[in-house]
Amino acid sequence: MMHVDDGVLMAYMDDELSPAAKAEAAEHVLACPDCRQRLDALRAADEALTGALALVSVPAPVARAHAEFHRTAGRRGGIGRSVLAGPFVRAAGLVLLLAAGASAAVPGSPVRNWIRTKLVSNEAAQPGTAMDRTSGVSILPSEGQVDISIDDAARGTRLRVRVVDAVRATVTVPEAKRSPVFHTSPGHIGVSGVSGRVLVDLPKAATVLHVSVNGEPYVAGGNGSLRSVVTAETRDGELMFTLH
Amino acid sequence: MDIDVLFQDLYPALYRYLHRLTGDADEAEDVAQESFVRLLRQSLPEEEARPWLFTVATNLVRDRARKRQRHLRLSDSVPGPTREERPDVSAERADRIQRVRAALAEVPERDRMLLMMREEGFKYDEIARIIGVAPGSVGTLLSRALRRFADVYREQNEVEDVDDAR
Repeated sequence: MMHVDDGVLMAYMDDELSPAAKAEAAEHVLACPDCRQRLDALRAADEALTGALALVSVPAPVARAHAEFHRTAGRRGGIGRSVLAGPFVRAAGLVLLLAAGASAAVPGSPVRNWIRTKLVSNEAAQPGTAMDRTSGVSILPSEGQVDISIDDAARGTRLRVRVVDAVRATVTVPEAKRSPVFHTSPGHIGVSGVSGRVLVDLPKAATVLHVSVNGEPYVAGGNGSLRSVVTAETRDGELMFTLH
Repeated sequence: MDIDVLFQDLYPALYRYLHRLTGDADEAEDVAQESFVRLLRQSLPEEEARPWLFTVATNLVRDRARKRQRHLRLSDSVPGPTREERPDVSAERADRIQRVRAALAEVPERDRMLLMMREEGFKYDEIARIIGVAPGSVGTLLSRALRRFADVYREQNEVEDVDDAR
């Protein structure tokens, strides 16, 4: 009797054989005690490996790595882009842009309202407006994610981060002694030159949340929960930091 | 799907693969990070991101090992606690971990990569492409690697049992 070699037995075990080859192997294993024994030995070895690997596994530091990735990728000039670019996708993007522009021309259109909201939010960040001295910006999450970065914060600045039952993420600098500079991109608010207090409200429905200060991750979370990466005071679910 | 979603989806598996391959949590983190940063420069269909990442990560591990001018060895010492490993791991657990790593070290580097790829759910044709072997040889290489690991691991555990019985 011709036996089945170990490579075929392995492929049979891993369901990598064609239907015809699989049927042939199954029939042979049924009839051949030698091959059946070798298959059982492979299965036992597989179980031993799985059990052994479970012993040495450690959890992946996803939150820390993700924050570090943002810092590294930001320095190399390429975060926030989709990696799925190609002629078709770029053409589709152009069509969408033209459609959005046409839609913005229509009074009462959602696109027009979104633009107005964004401009008003950004106007609030400008000094010398008729509004009070509070400066703030709000954005919608991008693909369910929000990233907040705070840079060049004056020593002693108090940062408060919380999850709110709102659609937008908001960063507010009340009673700003100097004019903070805001910049936004999809799912991201950056603010620099802050002092006094910085208030960050993050939408409960966002799936991934990051807050970093001077490039260091401070807060990670998502789906309604927050976790401080550095030492924080907590009160009623809010995280508070004094920036050094 | 954008890079942040890809990161959340694929980072845990990539880190796990690299950690199992190298036995070094810090190296696993560095290589995984570098692989994702390189992914930013690519324009790939979504379904190709995972094999691409694992290919780059595997090549980075090989390059680092060559630069260190030594073969990947997992059993020379039990790696010290890293940020992710509990400092209070018992001596017995540390010993078991050491035996696993010693057994893995007996499997040649390429075959160890094959095994770890298989553990991550890659199909044989993907494994062949990533590692750079003939597709028809994957089954044979895996079976040899699996037997080699299991034989060494069993021997070590038998020695330990004899020592305990004394």
